[in-house]
Amino acid sequence: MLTTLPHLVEQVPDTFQEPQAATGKFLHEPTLPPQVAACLGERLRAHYAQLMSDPVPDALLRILEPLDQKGRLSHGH
Amino acid sequence: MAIDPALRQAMLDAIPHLRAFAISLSGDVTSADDLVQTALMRGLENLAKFQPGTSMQAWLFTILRNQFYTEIRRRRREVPDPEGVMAGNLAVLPEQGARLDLNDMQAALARLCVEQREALLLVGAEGVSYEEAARICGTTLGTIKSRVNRARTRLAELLELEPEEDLGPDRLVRATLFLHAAV
Repeated sequence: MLTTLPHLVEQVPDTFQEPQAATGKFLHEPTLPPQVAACLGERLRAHYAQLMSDPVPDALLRILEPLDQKGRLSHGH
Repeated sequence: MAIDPALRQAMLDAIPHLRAFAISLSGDVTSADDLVQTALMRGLENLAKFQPGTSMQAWLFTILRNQFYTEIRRRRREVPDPEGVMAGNLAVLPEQGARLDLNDMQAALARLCVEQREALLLVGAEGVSYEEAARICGTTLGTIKSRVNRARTRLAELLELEPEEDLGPDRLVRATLFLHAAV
Protein backbone atom coordinates (compact mmCIF):
# COMPACT_ATOMS: atom_id res chain seq x y z
CA MET A 1 0.00 0.00 0.00
CA LEU A 2 2.73 2.40 0.88
CA THR A 3 5.30 2.22 -1.86
CA THR A 4 5.63 -0.42 -4.52
CA LEU A 5 3.44 -0.45 -7.58
CA PRO A 6 4.62 -3.58 -9.40
CA HIS A 7 1.31 -4.33 -11.06
CA LEU A 8 1.25 -0.85 -12.52
CA VAL A 9 4.86 -0.90 -13.66
CA GLU A 10 3.99 -3.93 -15.78
CA GLN A 11 1.01 -2.39 -17.43
CA VAL A 12 0.81 -1.95 -21.18
CA PRO A 13 0.19 1.65 -22.21
CA ASP A 14 -3.41 2.30 -23.03
CA THR A 15 -4.61 4.26 -26.00
CA PHE A 16 -6.84 6.93 -24.52
CA GLN A 17 -10.05 5.81 -26.14
CA GLU A 18 -12.42 6.48 -23.30
CA PRO A 19 -14.27 9.77 -23.57
CA GLN A 20 -14.20 12.06 -20.55
CA ALA A 21 -17.19 14.29 -19.97
CA ALA A 22 -15.08 17.18 -18.79
CA THR A 23 -12.35 16.70 -21.36
CA GLY A 24 -14.18 16.39 -24.64
CA LYS A 25 -11.76 18.83 -26.21
CA PHE A 26 -8.99 16.25 -25.95
CA LEU A 27 -10.83 13.52 -27.82
CA HIS A 28 -9.44 14.44 -31.22
CA GLU A 29 -5.81 14.34 -30.24
CA PRO A 30 -3.71 11.88 -32.22
CA THR A 31 -3.45 8.38 -30.82
CA LEU A 32 -0.44 6.21 -31.47
CA PRO A 33 -0.89 2.90 -33.30
CA PRO A 34 -0.91 0.11 -30.69
CA GLN A 35 2.35 -1.38 -32.02
CA VAL A 36 4.16 1.94 -31.64
CA ALA A 37 2.64 2.62 -28.23
CA ALA A 38 3.73 -0.82 -27.03
CA CYS A 39 7.27 -0.37 -28.34
CA LEU A 40 7.51 3.08 -26.82
CA GLY A 41 6.19 1.89 -23.47
CA GLU A 42 8.63 -0.98 -23.43
CA ARG A 43 11.62 1.27 -24.13
CA LEU A 44 10.51 3.86 -21.60
CA ARG A 45 10.11 1.23 -18.88
CA ALA A 46 13.49 -0.30 -19.81
CA HIS A 47 15.07 3.12 -19.42
CA TYR A 48 13.39 3.59 -16.07
CA ALA A 49 14.22 0.07 -14.87
CA GLN A 50 17.88 0.69 -15.63
CA LEU A 51 17.81 3.84 -13.49
CA MET A 52 15.92 2.05 -10.71
CA SER A 53 18.53 -0.70 -10.61
CA ASP A 54 21.41 1.71 -10.03
CA PRO A 55 22.72 1.55 -6.45
CA VAL A 56 21.36 4.30 -4.20
CA PRO A 57 24.14 6.67 -3.05
CA ASP A 58 24.97 6.29 0.65
CA ALA A 59 24.47 10.02 1.15
CA LEU A 60 20.76 9.55 0.47
CA LEU A 61 20.43 6.56 2.76
CA ARG A 62 22.23 8.42 5.54
CA ILE A 63 19.56 11.10 5.59
CA LEU A 64 17.25 8.58 7.20
CA GLU A 65 19.78 7.10 9.63
CA PRO A 66 19.83 9.71 12.42
CA LEU A 67 16.11 9.49 12.39
CA ASP A 68 16.25 5.82 13.16
CA GLN A 69 18.50 6.54 16.14
CA LYS A 70 16.24 9.32 17.36
CA GLY A 71 13.30 7.01 17.00
CA ARG A 72 14.98 4.39 19.13
CA LEU A 73 16.03 6.98 21.71
CA SER A 74 12.50 8.28 21.95
CA HIS A 75 11.26 4.77 22.43
CA GLY A 76 13.43 4.54 25.53
CA HIS A 77 11.69 7.54 27.15
CA MET B 1 10.93 12.80 17.88
CA ALA B 2 9.83 9.24 17.35
CA ILE B 3 9.37 7.91 13.89
CA ASP B 4 7.23 5.04 12.85
CA PRO B 5 9.64 2.41 11.47
CA ALA B 6 7.08 1.66 8.77
CA LEU B 7 7.22 5.29 7.60
CA ARG B 8 10.98 5.24 7.58
CA GLN B 9 10.95 2.02 5.58
CA ALA B 10 8.43 3.50 3.17
CA MET B 11 10.75 6.45 2.63
CA LEU B 12 13.70 4.13 2.04
CA ASP B 13 11.69 2.07 -0.42
CA ALA B 14 10.72 5.20 -2.30
CA ILE B 15 14.31 6.33 -2.91
CA PRO B 16 15.04 4.29 -6.08
CA HIS B 17 11.72 5.49 -7.54
CA LEU B 18 12.47 9.10 -6.63
CA ARG B 19 15.93 8.84 -8.16
CA ALA B 20 14.75 7.30 -11.43
CA PHE B 21 12.04 9.96 -11.71
CA ALA B 22 14.42 12.81 -10.84
CA ILE B 23 17.14 11.63 -13.25
CA SER B 24 14.64 11.22 -16.08
CA LEU B 25 13.05 14.58 -15.27
CA SER B 26 16.21 16.64 -14.85
CA GLY B 27 18.47 14.66 -17.19
CA ASP B 28 21.31 14.95 -14.75
CA VAL B 29 22.31 12.55 -11.96
CA THR B 30 23.88 15.20 -9.73
CA SER B 31 20.86 17.49 -9.92
CA ALA B 32 18.64 14.47 -9.43
CA ASP B 33 20.41 13.37 -6.26
CA ASP B 34 20.18 16.93 -4.93
CA LEU B 35 16.46 16.86 -5.65
CA VAL B 36 16.00 13.51 -3.92
CA GLN B 37 18.02 14.67 -0.93
CA THR B 38 15.95 17.83 -0.57
CA ALA B 39 12.72 15.88 -1.00
CA LEU B 40 13.70 13.41 1.73
CA MET B 41 14.70 16.19 4.10
CA ARG B 42 11.49 18.12 3.48
CA GLY B 43 9.59 14.90 3.92
CA LEU B 44 11.21 14.36 7.31
CA GLU B 45 10.56 17.94 8.39
CA ASN B 46 6.91 17.64 7.39
CA LEU B 47 6.30 14.05 8.36
CA ALA B 48 3.53 15.14 10.72
CA LYS B 49 1.59 16.31 7.66
CA PHE B 50 1.79 12.92 5.96
CA GLN B 51 -1.60 11.26 6.01
CA PRO B 52 -1.35 7.65 7.19
CA GLY B 53 -2.85 5.23 4.74
CA THR B 54 -1.86 7.28 1.70
CA SER B 55 1.11 6.56 -0.51
CA MET B 56 4.44 7.75 0.92
CA GLN B 57 5.91 7.44 -2.53
CA ALA B 58 3.29 9.71 -4.09
CA TRP B 59 3.72 12.19 -1.26
CA LEU B 60 7.49 12.34 -1.79
CA PHE B 61 7.02 12.58 -5.56
CA THR B 62 4.86 15.65 -4.98
CA ILE B 63 7.53 17.25 -2.80
CA LEU B 64 10.31 16.43 -5.26
CA ARG B 65 8.32 17.68 -8.21
CA ASN B 66 7.53 20.98 -6.51
CA GLN B 67 11.19 21.39 -5.63
CA PHE B 68 12.12 20.73 -9.26
CA TYR B 69 9.80 23.50 -10.47
CA THR B 70 11.11 25.90 -7.84
CA GLU B 71 14.62 25.28 -9.14
CA ILE B 72 13.58 25.67 -12.77
CA ARG B 73 12.06 29.05 -11.94
CA ARG B 74 15.19 30.09 -10.11
CA ARG B 75 17.44 28.96 -12.98
CA ARG B 76 15.30 30.82 -15.49
CA ARG B 77 16.02 33.99 -13.58
CA GLU B 78 19.74 33.26 -13.50
CA VAL B 79 20.46 31.67 -16.89
CA PRO B 80 19.13 32.99 -20.22
CA ASP B 81 18.26 29.64 -21.83
CA PRO B 82 18.40 26.81 -19.32
CA GLU B 83 16.24 24.47 -21.40
CA GLY B 84 18.49 24.80 -24.43
CA VAL B 85 21.61 24.26 -22.38
CA MET B 86 20.11 21.22 -20.73
CA ALA B 87 19.00 19.70 -24.04
CA GLY B 88 22.44 20.32 -25.54
CA ASN B 89 24.23 18.67 -22.67
CA LEU B 90 22.00 15.65 -22.82
CA ALA B 91 22.42 14.94 -26.49
CA VAL B 92 25.85 13.41 -26.07
CA LEU B 93 26.80 10.45 -28.19
CA PRO B 94 26.83 7.18 -26.28
CA GLU B 95 30.12 5.34 -26.03
CA GLN B 96 28.70 1.87 -26.48
CA GLY B 97 26.04 0.55 -28.77
CA ALA B 98 24.45 -1.37 -25.94
CA ARG B 99 23.78 1.85 -24.05
CA LEU B 100 22.42 3.64 -27.07
CA ASP B 101 18.75 2.99 -26.41
CA LEU B 102 18.91 4.41 -22.90
CA ASN B 103 20.87 7.51 -23.87
CA ASP B 104 18.66 7.88 -26.87
CA MET B 105 15.60 7.78 -24.63
CA GLN B 106 17.06 10.29 -22.18
CA ALA B 107 17.93 12.68 -25.02
CA ALA B 108 14.44 12.35 -26.45
CA LEU B 109 12.83 12.89 -23.03
CA ALA B 110 14.89 16.07 -22.63
CA ARG B 111 13.29 17.45 -25.77
CA LEU B 112 9.76 17.14 -24.42
CA CYS B 113 8.34 20.12 -22.59
CA VAL B 114 8.70 19.56 -18.89
CA GLU B 115 4.97 19.21 -18.15
CA GLN B 116 4.64 16.47 -20.76
CA ARG B 117 7.85 14.81 -19.57
CA GLU B 118 6.75 14.55 -15.96
CA ALA B 119 3.29 13.30 -16.90
CA LEU B 120 4.69 10.59 -19.16
CA LEU B 121 7.29 9.54 -16.58
CA LEU B 122 4.71 9.21 -13.84
CA VAL B 123 2.13 7.31 -15.88
CA GLY B 124 4.20 5.51 -18.52
CA ALA B 125 7.38 4.70 -16.57
CA GLU B 126 6.58 4.89 -12.87
CA GLY B 127 3.14 3.41 -13.44
CA VAL B 128 1.02 5.63 -11.19
CA SER B 129 -2.62 6.04 -12.12
CA TYR B 130 -3.80 9.07 -14.06
CA GLU B 131 -5.66 10.19 -10.96
CA GLU B 132 -2.54 9.98 -8.80
CA ALA B 133 -0.46 11.74 -11.47
CA ALA B 134 -3.02 14.54 -11.59
CA ARG B 135 -2.81 14.92 -7.81
CA ILE B 136 1.01 14.89 -7.86
CA CYS B 137 1.12 17.50 -10.64
CA GLY B 138 -1.68 19.58 -9.14
CA THR B 139 -3.79 19.48 -12.27
CA THR B 140 -6.88 17.80 -13.72
CA LEU B 141 -7.30 14.26 -14.99
CA GLY B 142 -8.04 15.53 -18.50
CA THR B 143 -4.90 17.65 -18.57
CA ILE B 144 -2.75 14.73 -17.46
CA LYS B 145 -4.26 12.45 -20.10
CA SER B 146 -3.68 15.06 -22.75
CA ARG B 147 -0.07 15.63 -21.65
CA VAL B 148 0.70 11.91 -21.60
CA ASN B 149 -0.87 11.46 -25.01
CA ARG B 150 1.06 14.35 -26.52
CA ALA B 151 4.27 13.23 -24.86
CA ARG B 152 3.91 9.73 -26.31
CA THR B 153 3.20 11.06 -29.78
CA ARG B 154 6.16 13.44 -29.64
CA LEU B 155 8.49 10.83 -28.18
CA ALA B 156 7.55 8.35 -30.92
CA GLU B 157 8.42 11.04 -33.47
CA LEU B 158 11.73 11.84 -31.80
CA LEU B 159 12.67 8.16 -31.61
CA GLU B 160 11.36 7.65 -35.14
CA LEU B 161 9.11 4.78 -34.15
CA GLU B 162 6.81 3.97 -37.02
CA PRO B 163 4.45 1.02 -37.23
CA GLU B 164 5.38 -0.33 -40.66
CA GLU B 165 9.07 0.06 -40.04
CA ASP B 166 11.46 -2.76 -39.30
CA LEU B 167 12.86 -1.85 -35.92
CA GLY B 168 16.08 -3.63 -36.72
CA PRO B 169 19.79 -2.84 -36.94
CA ASP B 170 19.48 0.38 -38.94
CA ARG B 171 17.78 1.90 -35.90
CA LEU B 172 21.28 2.41 -34.51
CA VAL B 173 22.22 4.48 -37.53
CA ARG B 174 19.09 6.56 -37.35
CA ALA B 175 19.41 7.05 -33.61
CA THR B 176 22.95 8.29 -34.12
CA LEU B 177 21.76 10.69 -36.82
CA PHE B 178 19.11 11.92 -34.43
CA LEU B 179 21.68 12.52 -31.73
CA HIS B 180 23.89 14.43 -34.15
CA ALA B 181 20.93 16.56 -35.18
CA ALA B 182 20.12 17.22 -31.54
CA VAL B 183 23.60 18.53 -30.65
